[in-house]
Amino acid sequence: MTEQFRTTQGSRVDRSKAINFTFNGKNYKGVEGDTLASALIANGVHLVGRSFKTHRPRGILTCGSEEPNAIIQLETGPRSEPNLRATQVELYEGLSAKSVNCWPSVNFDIAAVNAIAGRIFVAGFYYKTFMKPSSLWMTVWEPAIRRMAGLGVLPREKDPDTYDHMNEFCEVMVVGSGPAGLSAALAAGRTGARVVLCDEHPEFGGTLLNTKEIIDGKPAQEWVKTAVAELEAMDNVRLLKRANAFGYYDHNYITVHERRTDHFGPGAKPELTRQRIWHFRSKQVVLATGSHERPLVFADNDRPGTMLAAAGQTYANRYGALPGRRGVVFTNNDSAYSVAIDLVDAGMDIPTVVDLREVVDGDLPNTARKKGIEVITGSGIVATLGRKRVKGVEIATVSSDGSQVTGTKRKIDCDTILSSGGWSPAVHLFSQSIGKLRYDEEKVCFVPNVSSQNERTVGACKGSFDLQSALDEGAAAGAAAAKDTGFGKGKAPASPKALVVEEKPIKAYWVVPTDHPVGQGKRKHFVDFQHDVTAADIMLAAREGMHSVEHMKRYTTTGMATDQGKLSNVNGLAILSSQLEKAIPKVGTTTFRPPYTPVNFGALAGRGINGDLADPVRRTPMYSWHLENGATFEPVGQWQRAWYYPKAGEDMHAAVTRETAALRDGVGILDASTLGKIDIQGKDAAKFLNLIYTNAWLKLPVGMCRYGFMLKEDGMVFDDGVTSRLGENHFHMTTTTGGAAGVLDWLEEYLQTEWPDLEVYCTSVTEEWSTLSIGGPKARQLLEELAPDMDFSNENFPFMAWRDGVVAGVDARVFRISFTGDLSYEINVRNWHGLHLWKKCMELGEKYDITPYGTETMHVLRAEKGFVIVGQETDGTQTPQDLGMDWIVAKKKGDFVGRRSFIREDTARADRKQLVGLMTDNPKEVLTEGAQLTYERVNPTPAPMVGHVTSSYWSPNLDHSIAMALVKDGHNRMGQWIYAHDRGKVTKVKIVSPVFYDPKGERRDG
Amino acid sequence: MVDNFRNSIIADKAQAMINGSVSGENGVTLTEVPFLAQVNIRGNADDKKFVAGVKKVTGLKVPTDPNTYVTKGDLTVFWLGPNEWQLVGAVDAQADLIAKLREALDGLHVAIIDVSGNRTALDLSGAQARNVMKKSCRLDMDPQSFSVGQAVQTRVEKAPVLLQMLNDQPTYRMFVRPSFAEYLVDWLLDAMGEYHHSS
Repeated sequence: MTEQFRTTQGSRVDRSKAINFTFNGKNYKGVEGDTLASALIANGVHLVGRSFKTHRPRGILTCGSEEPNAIIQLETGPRSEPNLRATQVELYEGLSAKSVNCWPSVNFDIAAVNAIAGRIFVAGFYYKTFMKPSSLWMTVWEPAIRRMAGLGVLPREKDPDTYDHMNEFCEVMVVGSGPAGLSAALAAGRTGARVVLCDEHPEFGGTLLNTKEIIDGKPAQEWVKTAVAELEAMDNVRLLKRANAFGYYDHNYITVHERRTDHFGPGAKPELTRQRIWHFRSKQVVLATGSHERPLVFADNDRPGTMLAAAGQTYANRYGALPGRRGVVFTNNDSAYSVAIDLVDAGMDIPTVVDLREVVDGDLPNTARKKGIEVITGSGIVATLGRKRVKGVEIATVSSDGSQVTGTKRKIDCDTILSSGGWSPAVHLFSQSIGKLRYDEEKVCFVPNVSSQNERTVGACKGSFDLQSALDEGAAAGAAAAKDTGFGKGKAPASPKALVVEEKPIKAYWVVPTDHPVGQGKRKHFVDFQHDVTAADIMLAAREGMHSVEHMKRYTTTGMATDQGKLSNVNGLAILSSQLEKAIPKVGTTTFRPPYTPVNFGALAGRGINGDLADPVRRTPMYSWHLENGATFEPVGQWQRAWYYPKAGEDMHAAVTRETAALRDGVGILDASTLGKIDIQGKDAAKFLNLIYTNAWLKLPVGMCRYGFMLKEDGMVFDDGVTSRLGENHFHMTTTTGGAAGVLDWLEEYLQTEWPDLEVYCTSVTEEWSTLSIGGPKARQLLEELAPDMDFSNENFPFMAWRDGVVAGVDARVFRISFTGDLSYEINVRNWHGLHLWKKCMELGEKYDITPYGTETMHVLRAEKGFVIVGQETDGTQTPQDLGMDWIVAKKKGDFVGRRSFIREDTARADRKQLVGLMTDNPKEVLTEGAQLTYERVNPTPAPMVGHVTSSYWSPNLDHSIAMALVKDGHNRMGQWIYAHDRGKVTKVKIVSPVFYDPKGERRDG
Repeated sequence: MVDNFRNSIIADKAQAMINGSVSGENGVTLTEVPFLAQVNIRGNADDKKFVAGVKKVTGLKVPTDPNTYVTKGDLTVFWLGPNEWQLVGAVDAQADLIAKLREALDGLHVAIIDVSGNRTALDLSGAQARNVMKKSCRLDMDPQSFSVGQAVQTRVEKAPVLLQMLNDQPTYRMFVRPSFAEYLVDWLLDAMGEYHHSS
């Protein structure tokens, strides 16, 4: 194909560099600098998509991120991306794209039958049609609608690209690089402040790249070039192209989506992340986000070939791509005349400008007239001809109030309509920042009114549409913003002189009449192109009581497509306001929310999604040994703890059976490094523990350890652990693995807020120590070999004592405590000695067949002994008494946290849920943890639940399943049979003591 | 005494750190600085005896400005909180420092705790180190806001660290709990990858 519509002009493309691409299966050529849209236009392709509901043929409407029609699927395979705007996709060699929402092709779309039935797709169609019977909604209507309403398709494969995030701080952030933004960045940058300038386009310059403005007597693009060169030379300025500022949050936090490699083509730069999210925190912000041209709402204003006037100008000036051969310009303001002039200069035939205003005598219209362009005033386009491409328009005089056609129709042949309904400042980011808008009657648009953050709006975004104002406001804002951060004196540098042609006022004209009243007859006045919302839909919504703009939006879905109503918002609410006969400011506007344009999930996720980077895996010093020796792992919070160590051919059951036997008959070794450890010292340390724990601590001798419960103020168990007295005023506390951080916070809170008079310091030493637990009848023999200088006799190193010594050649602290019931030692060595000690234990323990065991065996062994795990047997609603541990609550020592709650009626009642053991009738049957319990086998509905199974295991030592449970009034029901329920299965179980093994504790001394 | 028994928890990452580092003027390197002496000090900065005691042992006055540190010779004292400091010294210096501190501060309400194993240190250094930090930390890493003499307790991605601005190369020193060290190394090497290719 040749580029029949490519001119010899086009300031930003290099016609010597051809690029091949494919669209909807056809091969085309474009040139370097093209977007997909401009290349298609150069090839005369306007029909690029189908509308969302009625599948009407649609063409390229804009040249930017506001595009509602040219929505495409880029590429195929794992890098395929849906719903991109062809107006933003930069052309690269081999690009392949296709239209979305059409099947089998954009030219022949079966669902276009919807357009014939279009009359039924009125406002609130979904609500009205699919509501009844409601049972069909989830099963029939909703899936069917989803299929029909398809946009692009997400690839099923894993995304081969990577994405990352960057955090950046600056004094002044400038969003948008048009004349106002460049001026602001220059003024701020020259002060030495850290300045960021970002723009969603591939080049800086904004609209100056699209038009033929003059600055200082020269083409404005020369000024752009100089300005960008100056900014690039500043070390304190960061320039980001292809970077869309999509969110503006509190504290001047702005998120930017940068497309780093897309323009090279898929996979072309594997060493770089494809896209990056920037998190900017800026002391001052300058918004120079420009404005969007509004389409006029006229009959059948969606034919391919219909385009926003300035978009046509951009395609001709910037890309050298003519929108068509013969175009009619339709406007209510002067700006469209510069379009007409430029297009004539570019070689297009523009016979007519149709202007809704009755008096048109501005400089631009007069220049157009001099070029031989006919200006028809007080008139509108009342019909368009053609289906897949505009073939002509019918124009007529219309009444000033928009109510009717007043004259006779005249037909003009054309292939292009260029419409301008005025300009809407791109206030999206300003609104996201919670800035307040004001409706400007004269300019017919919403403009920023009151800032709510450290932010300034300049240029077209402020409603200052002329070039000189943009330059002046930008420079002033940039200098003032920098001064507010302590840079410069706030004096704006002198702006260059723009050649400004004065424009006459715009005329508000929201719906152009046609031969039938709007909504009657076949002609449709589109407001929201992507969602097929027409002026008639909005009028109907108003008649049906949707008087709030938010209701109207949701009822009609105006502004809810991927373009988020950038073109339709103001037109929609103006139509609503005219229906309600209320002024536009009284109707207000809908809320602007991030993102400004769609952002990839991949980009939002960044690097923190892949494998080990997703979340920290906390490893103990012995982790590498566990890994090398075949351990399986169990996550405990962020920790990965060894779960069990299967030998060849063993399943979990076999491994745990072998491991538990070793602990009861030989010697086992457990990595217990993850336990929380807190160093507590100060002259009031014992007093403090006495207040924190339920039992008595004042008389614990130095050298001894004690087990304790901590309660919350409500009297419920919060954490447990063994605490050892290292010195008169010095203790070493242990906590649960998961509770470590929370306990330290808890201790600090009480020290700082309740008992600031106590002289106590608490410091986390969890990771200072590696902890190895060596247990089993042969543990003492092994310890004696490991530490020949230490005395491990029962007399000199009794149960619940600790001793310092040298173990395996390194300094160690050994605690004689047991979570298994058998003889057991916990050896603490400095973190970096953990692996050495472990290996030494394995080496010396080989003759005893030392068995490494994991958390599963630990759980079985402790359950055999009836030891609770806080968080498994408890859920924050158990008192020590509920757990059968009344003995741990000191009766005489005075106050402690939680004590007062024991006299609460609910805490004191006898029939609370209490911890008991459960034995199944069938010894081989292992109950399901979480199974609900009832007193009776058969129950009325709803069944009275009396508790649940908290822990359940196969106990190899007992050759019987065991379980622990919380049962209502359980302590009084020993020996009774109750019933466990697991999804329909009922198991008869007997309430027993939770201490299944060695109830007299005869094994702990070895 | 030569301690032959100690192992860095990220010893097996040493080669990956060498491979992942980028030499040259525009490079970035990641290295572990293991086994440093680290002592946690709690006490009252308004108590002249406390301040004098610490100074006698270390030659340093405990800093009272939040997020700062002071250095003399091998020794550095970090501000961690209004009544908490971390003393960092050369490998194997901890026993001597602790003994001297306990003696100098005897009778005061203080806590002197050996935490040499509680964290290891990673140095991220070179021209691209700041960019790597910007990918990883939500704080302002530019020299205007974070300069030599400052240290903060923050997160580098999801790993809690004591982050020290060590020098103007720049070098960022991260004191990280051993359990998070491998994750942190993996994260930083991943973030460094881009500069590996561009140099």
